[in-house]
Amino acid sequence: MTTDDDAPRTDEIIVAEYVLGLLEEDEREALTERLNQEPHLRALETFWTERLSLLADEVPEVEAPHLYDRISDRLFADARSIGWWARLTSALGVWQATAMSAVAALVIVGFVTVLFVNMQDRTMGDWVATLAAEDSDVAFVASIDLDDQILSISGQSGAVLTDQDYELWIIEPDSAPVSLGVVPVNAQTNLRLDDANLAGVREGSILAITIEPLGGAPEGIPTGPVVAAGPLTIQAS
Amino acid sequence: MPPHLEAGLDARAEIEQLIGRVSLGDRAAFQTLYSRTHAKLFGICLRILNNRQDAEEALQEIFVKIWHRSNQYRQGVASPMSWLITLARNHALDMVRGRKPVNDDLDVAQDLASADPSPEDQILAMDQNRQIETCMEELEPQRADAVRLAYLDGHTYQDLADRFNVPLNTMKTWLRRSLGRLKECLSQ
Repeated sequence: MTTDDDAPRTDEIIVAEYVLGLLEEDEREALTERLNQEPHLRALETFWTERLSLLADEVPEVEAPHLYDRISDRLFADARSIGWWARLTSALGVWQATAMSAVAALVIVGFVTVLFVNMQDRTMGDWVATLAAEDSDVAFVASIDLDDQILSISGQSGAVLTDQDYELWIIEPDSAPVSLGVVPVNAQTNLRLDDANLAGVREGSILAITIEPLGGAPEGIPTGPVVAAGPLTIQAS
Repeated sequence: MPPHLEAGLDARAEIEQLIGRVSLGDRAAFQTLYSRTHAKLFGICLRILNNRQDAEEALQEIFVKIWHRSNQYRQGVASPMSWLITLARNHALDMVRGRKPVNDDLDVAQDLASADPSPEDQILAMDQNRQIETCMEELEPQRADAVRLAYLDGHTYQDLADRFNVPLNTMKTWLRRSLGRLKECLSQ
């Protein structure tokens, strides 16, 4: 078979070997480098990837429905806390996140007792929040009237959605977001807060808006991107 | 359009839509995508890894990757099943060979084209199926088997040389010539 050795090893063939996984490690790394530089190689990669994947038609399907829950756990178990905070932090920007931590630390050190007393008395001024995010033109302002237990929120900017809804969430630090319902961006909405909602409201709590399917996130867990968020602060009366 | 082609296009469009929704963080779509595609991807993992426990681990990691990389899928460049199969296959190969993954997300390759495929392109994509079958049949049976073993079972040149009981260099020459003939046939 030595007469076959004169077969030229063209790019077409090297890329096919790459897609098949036949290249030695050093050849593979070298071709990866070239793929980043040379569009015609990438076109060949697409060609072979598409054609060869059709060979998988003959592979029998094997059901494994029970694995979905494990995947879901891996991806979403933390989403109610850590994942959510990561998304919020990224939406708010590092500067704001740092500022928020500073505010929270200050509250813990100096004002927590006073705050608690005043919350009980309900003589304090309203809570207010400005909801915005980097890379988003959606903005809301919100205020909470403690006496009437009313949260008022109105959109300042942002597109009116037709096949999705903006959903408002309240989040206490390190806790799962709690939905306060869907809110229009082009009108003011007044929401009555129950005692459970109010009990958790404190400096450092965050209001956030996500984009969700019509009617809101189906399972009460945010699924869409955070398009606006901001911390609640006390507005002195 | 013949009914079987129409059905194929519907399935393709559905998977494309699901991947699109997953890229927006839609968990319901992710679950549906799992139910529609996992059995094929699990079959591929089992074939390469030859071990149910490893294949189960692989499938979980593959779907975690799909969740995170769904925004890299480009409609109209790769077919959605080809994208999923390639992701699954590369992951299983990385596992079985203990190699580190390189460039297996296809995003670079898929930046090349952006236009949506015309219906004609889509029919062409469907026809590719029978085309590769035809072209594989034109190879000598053993050489076609070698291509299948490399793609579907993750065989290396050494595995193939052992299997067909030929020297390593002979195996390389055989396979490279087969790939050259395949390319020629598929490009017609």
